[in-house]
Amino acid sequence: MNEVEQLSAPLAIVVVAAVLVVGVYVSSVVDVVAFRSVAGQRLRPGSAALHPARVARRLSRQQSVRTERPDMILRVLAPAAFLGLAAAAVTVIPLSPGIVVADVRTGIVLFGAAQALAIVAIFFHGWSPNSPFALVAGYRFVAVALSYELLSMFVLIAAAIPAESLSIGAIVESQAGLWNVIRQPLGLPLFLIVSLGVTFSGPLDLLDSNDLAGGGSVEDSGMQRLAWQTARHAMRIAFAACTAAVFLGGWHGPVLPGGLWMALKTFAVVALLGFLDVFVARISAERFVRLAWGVLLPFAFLNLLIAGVGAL
Amino acid sequence: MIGTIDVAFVVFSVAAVASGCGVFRVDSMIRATYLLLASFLNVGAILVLLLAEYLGVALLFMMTAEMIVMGLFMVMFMMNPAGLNPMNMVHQPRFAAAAGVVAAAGVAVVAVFADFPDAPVDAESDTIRELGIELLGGSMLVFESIGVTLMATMVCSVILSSATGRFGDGYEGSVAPALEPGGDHRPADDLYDPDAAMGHSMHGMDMGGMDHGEMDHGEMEHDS
Amino acid sequence: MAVTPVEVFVAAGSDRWHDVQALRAHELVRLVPTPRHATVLLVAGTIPASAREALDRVHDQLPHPRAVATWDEIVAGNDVVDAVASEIVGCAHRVMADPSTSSPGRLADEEPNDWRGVGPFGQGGEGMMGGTPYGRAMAMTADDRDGLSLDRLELRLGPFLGQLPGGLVADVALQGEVIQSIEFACAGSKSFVTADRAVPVARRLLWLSHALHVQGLDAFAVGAARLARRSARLDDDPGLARDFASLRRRMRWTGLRSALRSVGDRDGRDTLARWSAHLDAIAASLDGADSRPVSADGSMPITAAELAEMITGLALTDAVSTIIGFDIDVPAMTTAPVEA
Repeated sequence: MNEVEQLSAPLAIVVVAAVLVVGVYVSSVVDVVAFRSVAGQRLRPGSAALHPARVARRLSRQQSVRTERPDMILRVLAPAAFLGLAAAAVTVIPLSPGIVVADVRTGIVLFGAAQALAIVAIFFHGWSPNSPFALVAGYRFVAVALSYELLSMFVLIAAAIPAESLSIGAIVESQAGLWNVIRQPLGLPLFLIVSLGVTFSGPLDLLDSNDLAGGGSVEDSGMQRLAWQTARHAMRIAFAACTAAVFLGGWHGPVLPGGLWMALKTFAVVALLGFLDVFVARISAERFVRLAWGVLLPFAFLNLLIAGVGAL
Repeated sequence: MIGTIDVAFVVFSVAAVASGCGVFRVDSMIRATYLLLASFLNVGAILVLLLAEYLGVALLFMMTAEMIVMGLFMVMFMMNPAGLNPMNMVHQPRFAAAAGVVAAAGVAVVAVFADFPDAPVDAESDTIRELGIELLGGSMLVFESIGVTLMATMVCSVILSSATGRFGDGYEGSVAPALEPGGDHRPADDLYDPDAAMGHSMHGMDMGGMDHGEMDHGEMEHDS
Repeated sequence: MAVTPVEVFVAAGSDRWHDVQALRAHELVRLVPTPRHATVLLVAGTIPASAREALDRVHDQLPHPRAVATWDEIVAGNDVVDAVASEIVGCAHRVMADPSTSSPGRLADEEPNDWRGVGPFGQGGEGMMGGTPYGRAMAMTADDRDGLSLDRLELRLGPFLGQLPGGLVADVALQGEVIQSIEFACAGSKSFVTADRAVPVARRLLWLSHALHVQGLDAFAVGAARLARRSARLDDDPGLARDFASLRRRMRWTGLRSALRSVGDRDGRDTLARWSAHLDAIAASLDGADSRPVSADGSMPITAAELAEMITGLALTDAVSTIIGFDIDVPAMTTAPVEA
């Protein structure tokens, strides 16, 4: 089973907080750099590095508008839950050979549960401000999310088969010889699609989208908006870390220490997600639903078959 | 001596019961749906406390997905954002209360008088593996294959039967035959009985002249 | 630059709406899709009297600290867009430095209508639900295509909606995300929504910038806006055609083609075909050919009634994409004489 020591509660909180704070900042900087490079603007790395801090400062001084009859409990709960679920997802991912906050035996299922509850939190975000565009964006997102929810579970289960365990630590250890991206080639693209979906970016930017006047964020301003953006980046970090752990070999790698490899791989996935967010046009919900159930789900089954045959 | 686990158990149980009661007290469908989800989440947490790890986490996952679907259908049928317009969520309250009391009494009787086994699970044992073997035994591969096959069958049947199916638009392919041989097939709006389909019987508002019968379904714009 | 771009919401009348898109090219300014994200409200063009109240509402929706800038009041030197951008940044800095100078609300902050419901909690008016609480017509059930009884929400997509051309007003009824009926506010149902005349290439590029923004490609919208500004400044800029070709090449990789394919089909031309027609016209103009007087989708211009019929039954995303695919000429729509 697991030889890693389970961290004590205060240390666990510190580790998760550190990962998320650093990750959110880096992810925001990656967004800015990706935007500027695709738009053909000057990169100005110094300004890009300070951009998230300046945006946070400006938003903290802006009024958080309250709509006519919002559901205040859910309005506050949505970003808090989204962030909390990102933190919960990070706890089951091994960050280095010795550090994993809670390598539970059902890590994959817990990650899937955090993802599903994130969908609920996102729906609350759209439903709570009592605004039609936000509502349309919210349930449009849910309709699409149900489609890739299943994809993610099949892909993760296929990755769990060679490890003979549902814990992510065991999955990382099973990649000591060969990374999952090579022996289950369909898994990584499908999981990237899921990551794009849960963080509503790129082709699946169906939540806070420009064609609905800002979508779920139409009534967000000030701290509410800052909280939501932070939670979204935190979820992106969680998914990037999971991708790195499950498909890219986690902390395996020559020369450098495991934690550094994990950080580099996570950063690479974050950069890829940030770039796709800027570069790929939005696909309509109906079209994606057809694509997901008709094309991507068979690929997920095929991936499962490949994993199963490989395990026989 | 009261340990963390006992405290946690009490907290989760109370939360589960409280959110379950809340389902009937709130005045909006979405709030009811997600209070029900909260109740299930607390039960899932209790299962994890009992070291039925996989069952607990799988319950969290499954119930979340189910409540998402239910919430989506609620909103689809009832576009009432944030409960601006309050609703009365309960039907037949007296009968339901009586049935609830009877059911609770039955469960209480079972809980108090039944003979539960006293077999604490060893924390290190591989409960997931044992659960799998207990449930599926030697037929595990068959069951898993059947599960995937069933899923594929469901998806395929929905795709084939939805409006734009394999052989073209469903409304063109599945029209009713003519009333007399050699005549024209009956138009689509002749098949549809507006009175039968009305869920809420009265709404006095003018819907702006939207006459369902005039819509020609064959020209409906949908992505292929 | 030591500051982040100033977030601006644009409330543009139909005559200035295209020009405003040029602000996307400016690095100091960022156009946002909703007033709640903005610090500065930019009022541009002539606002008709019927839209005054809407403008006040939009103004009050900006969070404090907020400032208002008016395009037509800005004294411009050579470059109007630069002057406007500087004015916006100036307004923003002033109001951020001293939040007490934030523009006060124009409408009273009170409930627009009285509560009118039946029963102790407002329920019991119709079936399980209250009658007309807050005077706002609640979504009530109506039948849809599949014989289900789904709620039908009626909305007015107002004159200052970011994703639609400025000044366009549409009354839609939605069931779910699908539009059940739509009616454009125009001079008559026979009004043409697209212009059958030569359109300068700068304006076409500004159309492209807005359309890319709506499709989720903000970074490409910046590129298109920059090309528009360059083409407005110099008539013969040799690099322009080359840069436009490279932008078009990069757009191929974004998945835009598959996103627009078979959306809004009309006589075999879908939104992708209309986009291609626009882009070909831009390329032809930049290559030196005369800007041909071809209407936006390369075929006969379309009337408001035909557009409404085309959009009915589409999801809201696809409807917006379809509308944007036509370069809608809102002044012509609202003032054109009705065809007999």
